Amino acid sequence: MINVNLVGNANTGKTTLFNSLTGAHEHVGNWHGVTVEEKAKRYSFKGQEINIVDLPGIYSLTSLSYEEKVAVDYILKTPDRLVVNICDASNLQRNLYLTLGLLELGVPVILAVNQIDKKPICKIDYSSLGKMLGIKVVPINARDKSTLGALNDAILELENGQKNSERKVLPYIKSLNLDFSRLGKIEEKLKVFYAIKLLEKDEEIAKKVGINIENLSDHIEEVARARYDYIDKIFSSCMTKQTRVYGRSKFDKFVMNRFLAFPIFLLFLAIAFYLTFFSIGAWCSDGLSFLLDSAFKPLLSWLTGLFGQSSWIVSFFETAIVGALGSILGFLPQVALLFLFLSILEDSGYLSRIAFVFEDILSKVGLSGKSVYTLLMGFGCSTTAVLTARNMEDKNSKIKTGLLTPYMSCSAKFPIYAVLGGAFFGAKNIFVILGLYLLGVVVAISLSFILEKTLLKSKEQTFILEFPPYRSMSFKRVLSVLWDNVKLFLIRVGTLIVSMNVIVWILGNFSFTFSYVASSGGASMLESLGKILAPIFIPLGFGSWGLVSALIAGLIAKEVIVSSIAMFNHVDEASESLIGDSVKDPTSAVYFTSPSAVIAYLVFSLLYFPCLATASVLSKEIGKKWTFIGIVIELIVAYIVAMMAYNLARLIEIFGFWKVFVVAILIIIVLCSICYLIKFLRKKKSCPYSSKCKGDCKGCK
Amino acid sequence: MLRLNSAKFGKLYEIDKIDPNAPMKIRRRLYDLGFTSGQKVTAVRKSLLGKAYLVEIRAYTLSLRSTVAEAIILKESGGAK
Repeated sequence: MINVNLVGNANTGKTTLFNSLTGAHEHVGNWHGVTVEEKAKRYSFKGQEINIVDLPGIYSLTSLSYEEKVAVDYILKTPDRLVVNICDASNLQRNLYLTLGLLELGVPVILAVNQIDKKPICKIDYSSLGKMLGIKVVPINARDKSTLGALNDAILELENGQKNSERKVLPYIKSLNLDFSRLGKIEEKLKVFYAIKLLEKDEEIAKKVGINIENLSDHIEEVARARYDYIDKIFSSCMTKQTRVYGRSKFDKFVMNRFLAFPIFLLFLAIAFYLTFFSIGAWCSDGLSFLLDSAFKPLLSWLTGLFGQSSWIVSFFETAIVGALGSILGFLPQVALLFLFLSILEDSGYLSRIAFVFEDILSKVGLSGKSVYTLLMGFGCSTTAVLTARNMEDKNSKIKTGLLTPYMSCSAKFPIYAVLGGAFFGAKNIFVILGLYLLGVVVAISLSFILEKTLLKSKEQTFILEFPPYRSMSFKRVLSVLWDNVKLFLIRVGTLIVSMNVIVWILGNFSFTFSYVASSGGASMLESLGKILAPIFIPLGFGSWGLVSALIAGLIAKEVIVSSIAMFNHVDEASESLIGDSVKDPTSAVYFTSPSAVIAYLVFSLLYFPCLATASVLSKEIGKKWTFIGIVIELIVAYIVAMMAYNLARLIEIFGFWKVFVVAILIIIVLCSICYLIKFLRKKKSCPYSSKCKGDCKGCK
Repeated sequence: MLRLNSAKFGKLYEIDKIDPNAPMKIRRRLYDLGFTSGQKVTAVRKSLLGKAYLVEIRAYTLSLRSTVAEAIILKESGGAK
């Protein structure tokens, strides 16, 4: 078997190439730092098995962040492996810097130049480029499998032939003032690399050799210049001059305009939101629900015929499988569409521009442009989003971003809003859902601000973010995103959600003495437990045990909240609306005192707990202590905000929207003027130089 | 001394040097990214409040925070100081 490491700068298409070669479906994006740890997969070419390892992006063999360390350590641990170094053709100069680093290390390298854009930015003479570097250079398009044959041939050729042959020593290395005297213990062929790294004051390497880093003189620039001078030489002889640069086009000027940037971004989100939840997505969902119902009905009547109406088996199928699963499966098209829009945002290169424009505002509340990515991915699935927080530079920002991600309304929460909100608010539900999404963002931002000022002050970040060119999505990529998410969703529903439904059904239909409640008339296990906790939620308007039990079941996965309510609701006909009149019946297990209580319930579901999967990933990423603190904060915030929402909604119910609105505006105006007054008085006092000073002290001295 | 964070937008400059007093991490990354002496560089735009800069160097674009931009010392392009 041939082992191959896939190495390259951030955002050059390593994972795209990995997917094309192996047929894997790893997440890719037009953004740097999407891959955070190594992933390996095998494929075979011409009868040879090849094991390829996808590594996070690096700029040089000295790592500066966690995910870079993963890649660098991996390469240094396996110096005999083939390296496929993928370079972005539109950014070859900087990409070759890493190539030179790999050649210094002496690993067997194949250079794969990734030409994604149809019109190349500059012309490259591949054979003379290969000659100057002393390695094989293959032009590829990582998205197009048909261009990868040459790369695979090169891998076989290098493995079977020249792997151990003498490689060219690049001329610039000779010009460096290398000191081998302290490298007695090091393997002969790695000596050049170690000597160069010592010139660069690389901490890890110094540790390995046993030299105190303080005793080394600083030649970082000298080495970098030697490399770049050689790259310039290559550039002038192998490439035509590059003309097109991105970040300055008319479209960019428009999108990153100070005044327009925010409205344009909102418009994009609004369109995505509308298409997903209220037009195409909703139509597809309705269609799917209809199909599911027509498929389930005959099955159900067949079972009833077999076991009789009152049997627990029929009840189990009717509620735990047909009703509960049906309530979630119908949302498949919407979830898939939501993920599609998120990948459009990511793939197109637009997200980088947004992160750049909002960098300042975000840093005011203690976030950074980088955390935008994680938070936006949180609209899809917070479990996978939390993982991407790893590319944050300092620990506090990483913890903060990780803690805030669950406040974003993830796709699993949407069914709750749609089903419950739909039953109470009908067409007006669009505003409720929109409000909940906004609420999540607002709570996250406010909390970030508070954390920044108290527990988790972020260090000054360097924020070096690459600016990718705009790229369109191929039709194939659209299909693959849709298919991947459909598959993930079905697997999730088929395993986790089904088993949760079964557990909830058993707990909800059998008493502690294991007698079937529907026939014996006693209280089920969940009913007994739920009733203990239920009084806590009376101030929020939903003190019935079924609703509280649903929240407990929802700790595992948020979709289960809906399926549990559907179960407790005892809807006779699976075809009718899942949440029937019983939510309005005081004797029901899932009784809401008023529409305001529904709002409070939705707010609580949005905020109260990251699902179990997210919590476990979080504890791995940011530690048990912070995960615990985060969960406690979430519970408190959820309770308080839900109570506020409940009372506000009650006021609106009683006095009407406009009266409450006017009073709220008045209160805000009064509060603002009080704050301003206090600030003004304080500043006036503090200026010792002039009585005319208005607080800014300009020219007072 | 002219630094990148006070450069005129859209104008071509030459890098004089990276501030030797800047933190090691920042200097290292800047060299990796190609900010070597004598290299041509242009500041393209800044973010809303001016805390981040969009910079063009070696025919690619990237964004830097102002603290990093501060570490890059420039001179007028063409050699004349």
